[in-house]
Amino acid sequence: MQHVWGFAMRTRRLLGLVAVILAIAAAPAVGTGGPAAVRTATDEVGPADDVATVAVVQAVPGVEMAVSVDGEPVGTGVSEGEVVPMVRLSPGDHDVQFSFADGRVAASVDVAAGTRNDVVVHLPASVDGDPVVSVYPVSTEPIGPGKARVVLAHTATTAPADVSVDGKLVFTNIANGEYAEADVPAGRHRVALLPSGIDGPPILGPLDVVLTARTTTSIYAVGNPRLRSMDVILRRTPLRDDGSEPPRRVDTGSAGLVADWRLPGLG
Amino acid sequence: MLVLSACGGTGSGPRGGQPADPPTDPTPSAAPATPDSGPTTAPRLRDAQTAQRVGAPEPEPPVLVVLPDGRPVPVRPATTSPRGRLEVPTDIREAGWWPGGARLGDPFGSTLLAAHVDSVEQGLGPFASLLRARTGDRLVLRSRHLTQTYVLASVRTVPKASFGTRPWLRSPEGRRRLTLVTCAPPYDAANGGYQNLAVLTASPVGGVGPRRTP
Repeated sequence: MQHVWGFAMRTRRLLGLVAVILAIAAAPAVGTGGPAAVRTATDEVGPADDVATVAVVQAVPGVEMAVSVDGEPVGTGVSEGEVVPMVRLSPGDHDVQFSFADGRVAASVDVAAGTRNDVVVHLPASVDGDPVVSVYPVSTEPIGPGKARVVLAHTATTAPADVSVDGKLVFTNIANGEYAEADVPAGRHRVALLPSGIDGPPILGPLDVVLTARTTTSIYAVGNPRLRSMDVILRRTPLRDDGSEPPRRVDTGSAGLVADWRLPGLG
Repeated sequence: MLVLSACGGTGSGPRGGQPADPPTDPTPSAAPATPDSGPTTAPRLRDAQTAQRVGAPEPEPPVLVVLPDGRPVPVRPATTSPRGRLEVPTDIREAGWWPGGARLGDPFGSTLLAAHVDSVEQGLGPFASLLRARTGDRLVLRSRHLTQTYVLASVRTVPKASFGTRPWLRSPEGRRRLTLVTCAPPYDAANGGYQNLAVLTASPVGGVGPRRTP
């Protein structure tokens, strides 16, 4: 459990095992000057029960980090886009430390039983800011048939953002360190990050993203659009089915009291 | 707008205070003389900030629909029986909502409501008024914290037996919409009663708003 996947290994593992398709749209990545690089990672761990599970996400560009939890190393040489696989923790406070060439970041992370959390080290919205640590809760709520959950997390060096899915504005005004979440139909979608409140080219995307039924796809936006370094880290976590079965029959009347009614609303 | 904290019960991380002042030396201009001065001071341990859920109101199950004639009808979740029947409340004054479809506030999909048009014991139900509805009529759907107005976009009847072949009526795909279903004539007592379903589709007017306390 306490190892870090190399990027190549992760990629191969991903391509081999997981039906994840993430392709950069053919459309030019307006505002970034070129297609963004894409990193992905996947967990196979199911929802937690009496413990808390934590995955550590390294979202600081250009830096390799050593990660420890409660003084115990859980990863070394962790570069941007890498995810230290799930660690199980007892409920309560834990010390998470990130060490890198220019310094260290330490944070106390309070986790509750039965929760999943991504502990993310990332840059703040301001240019030249030092890394900060945010805890992103990962929903364990069961989901209905044919649906996928998507989480858009703002961990980039830029102002608040809106998000469009298939051309429809779905989220507005997400600032650095915040996230938005929705259940959407499973399948292929076009997701774009837009500057909030102004008309401007996308900060990122649109990206073609395939969202698999009964999973959460967490999209961490990282980088700086002014430096054309916008990138995404994708994490996929499984969800339970909520048990809903699509109905095939509706019987909603028995007395014949409207037998002679004509429906004026019909064309 | 509604901003909900979905902190997963971690119970920490007060919003506000800017996180993590750097433990590093903030004066890089002094650095050239000592390009690599080794590890900086030990970091101060601070609470990680719990990311706040923002961007859109958190979707909720609908609890009330106001029909075009102004009548409020309570809405309850309605599961599907092992034989595939939507278990609409037997009380004809209430409507059933299929939880596998869209909730109030979901960005896509059909929110399916169904209620009895009548019963021998209770007579006509409020959904009978839907048979008199016309396109352009307004409806309101409410959840615990949210409200959404809809305008009726279509009224049609379909053979009752065809419901299962019309996934659009309950699908999570496509534009968000409210779908209301109840029984419609003709009525054939010897052949299962009502032969048709009235299917009304309504489109949202504006966005989801906060529900005002009555």
